[in-house]
Amino acid sequence: MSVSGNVVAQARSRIGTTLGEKWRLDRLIGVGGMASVYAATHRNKRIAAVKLLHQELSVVQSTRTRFLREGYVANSVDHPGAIAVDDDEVTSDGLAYLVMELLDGESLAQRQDRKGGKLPVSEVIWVADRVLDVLSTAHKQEILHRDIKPENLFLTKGGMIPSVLLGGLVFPEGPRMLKVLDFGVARIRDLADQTGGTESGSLLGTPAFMPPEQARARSAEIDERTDLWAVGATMFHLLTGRHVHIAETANEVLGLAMYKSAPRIRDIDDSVPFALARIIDRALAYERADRWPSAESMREAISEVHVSGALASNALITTPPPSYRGVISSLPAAPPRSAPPPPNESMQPMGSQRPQAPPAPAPPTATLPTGGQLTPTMRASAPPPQFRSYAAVALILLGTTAAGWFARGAIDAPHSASTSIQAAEPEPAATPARPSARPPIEH
Amino acid sequence: MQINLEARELTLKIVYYGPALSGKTSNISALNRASNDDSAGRLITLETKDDRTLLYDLLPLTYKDTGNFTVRVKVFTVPGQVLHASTRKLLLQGADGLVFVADSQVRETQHNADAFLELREFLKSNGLNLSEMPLVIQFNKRDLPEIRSDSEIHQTSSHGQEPVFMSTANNGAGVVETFLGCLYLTMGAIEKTHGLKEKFGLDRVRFVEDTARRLGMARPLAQIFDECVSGAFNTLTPGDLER
Repeated sequence: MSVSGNVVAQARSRIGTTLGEKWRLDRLIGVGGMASVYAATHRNKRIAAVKLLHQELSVVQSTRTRFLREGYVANSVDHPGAIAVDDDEVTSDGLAYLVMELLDGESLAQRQDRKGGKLPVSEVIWVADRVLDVLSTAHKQEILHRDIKPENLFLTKGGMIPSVLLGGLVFPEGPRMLKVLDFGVARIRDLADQTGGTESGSLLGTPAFMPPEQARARSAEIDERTDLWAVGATMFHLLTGRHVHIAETANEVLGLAMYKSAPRIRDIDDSVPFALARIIDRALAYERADRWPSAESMREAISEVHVSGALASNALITTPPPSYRGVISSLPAAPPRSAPPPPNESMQPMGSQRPQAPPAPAPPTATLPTGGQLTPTMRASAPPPQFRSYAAVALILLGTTAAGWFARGAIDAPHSASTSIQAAEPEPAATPARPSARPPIEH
Repeated sequence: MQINLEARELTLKIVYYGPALSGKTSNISALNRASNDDSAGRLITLETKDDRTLLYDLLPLTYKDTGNFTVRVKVFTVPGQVLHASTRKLLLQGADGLVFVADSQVRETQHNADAFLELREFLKSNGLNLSEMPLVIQFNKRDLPEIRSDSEIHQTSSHGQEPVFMSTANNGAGVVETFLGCLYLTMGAIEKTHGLKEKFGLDRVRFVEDTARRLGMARPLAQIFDECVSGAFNTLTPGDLER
């Protein structure tokens, strides 16, 4: 089921209204399965993003609690790369909402679309370094993200920075900061252990970026390495322009994620530097024990690629410098592969070159908890042109969690099997400039 | 900044900010060593077991102007590791001047940029605007290999207004010059808003030169600021540095 026209219409009808006499909803940025996001102005003139849980979900106590908890989890990360929630409230008529920074920029998914489907190696390395930095901090605090994907990684405009500090690096458009959005499906393990906050068998995340244990809803097996698989899948997608597993339907993607090993990235695109490919391949190992043990270790490995000369002289230019090519070419060639990957994977028995997946167990006892009727529109494919024009910024702030879309029953966004957002209206990429000083929030 | 009119005392806060391991603590230690009289208080450091800054370093410096006006300068460094983001944000509260310690190594360029963007964000959330703050940039670790070249830094710094100094904080080179540059700008900002000279007879050039002497630099300010690669000091006229 898609985000229905009624939901979008209802979201649009709130434009111009004021929540709890505090936040005037100025502009609808997007509508997701779980929430709508608005650019809003506080009565004290502060501008922010307001994420408003859909009315029919606000009345469900457990959903409302999970939604509001998102803010506390993100704030607990305490990292400038984790988007913090500044305020949360339930209005007198029962509408729950979160207030967060209104970002100016684009998600990596949008950037990927804009750049023709792939991002340069240098940018992907930078992104991986940044996201692993955030995850490293989060993991130390026992917080997992569980939904890392290009839509949840947001590049904000860096703005003014002395050119002497740039030195020809960074993005061609200027400095950027990476924000990791939507810790909403994150789980504080202690909390879950104590309260059963995430029951075994419930599926949270996005199929195209799910490792086997997550796809199989084995909650007890989900740990830091689950996030690292998603980082690997994100790098894979950004570099090759395709998902790790490709199938016609989201159910099939989920099935592949459960039982099939990821293809080696250089089998898909041999232009990926070998040193980097090894890091990604390890992150995408079927068995958790074969993956990077921690975000820190994976980040260090990426840093070594950087330092070893791969990106030494000019890390973030879009075209690798000659020294980079030299280093890569001096590295041992990739081991020969027994067979090229099929152009379109299907749910055939495994027997691939990668570590053997365990024998297919009995059908999972729990897959899609609440009416997970996933539609063929989730097919992983190139995004249609209209999607490219969708608003930047807080689309990602929407209820992108699988919890949201499973609660809603389906996904409609055609961008990929992982997307659960439908933009309500095309928006310009840039959001209005915010005032430099942030007045305190009135309560 | 705090002014105690009764005690004729001004207290300034200068914060050294920068990416992890860029040499902020080395700066403050060198500054402490350079203080050859009793103007420096005890250097307070809180370190982790691997010698990384845990909370902050604090070096209190106290100078008495000839007009019997006392200026206390509290020099803070922040912990660079990402884990301590909230501590960094807290330490920026009430900052009067900033020294951004950048790591000269090429591979640290992105971390320099990230730290600068974070600084700007944290100041904003503290209600401060970086563009209105006295700021000096220091490129540290000039003694290491694979660093950004002098000529590149000269060239790129000419596009900005921020004074840029070079340093090797481990042996003290460039440390005092950087500090004096920030102190001069900070005193200038306070002069503009509070009229220290008119109200208290506190002359910033005389004060900074006096401070320089106490830190082992018996040269005219103009010569000291010649060490500045680029930025605001290069636009100073001789008259600006005359009493």
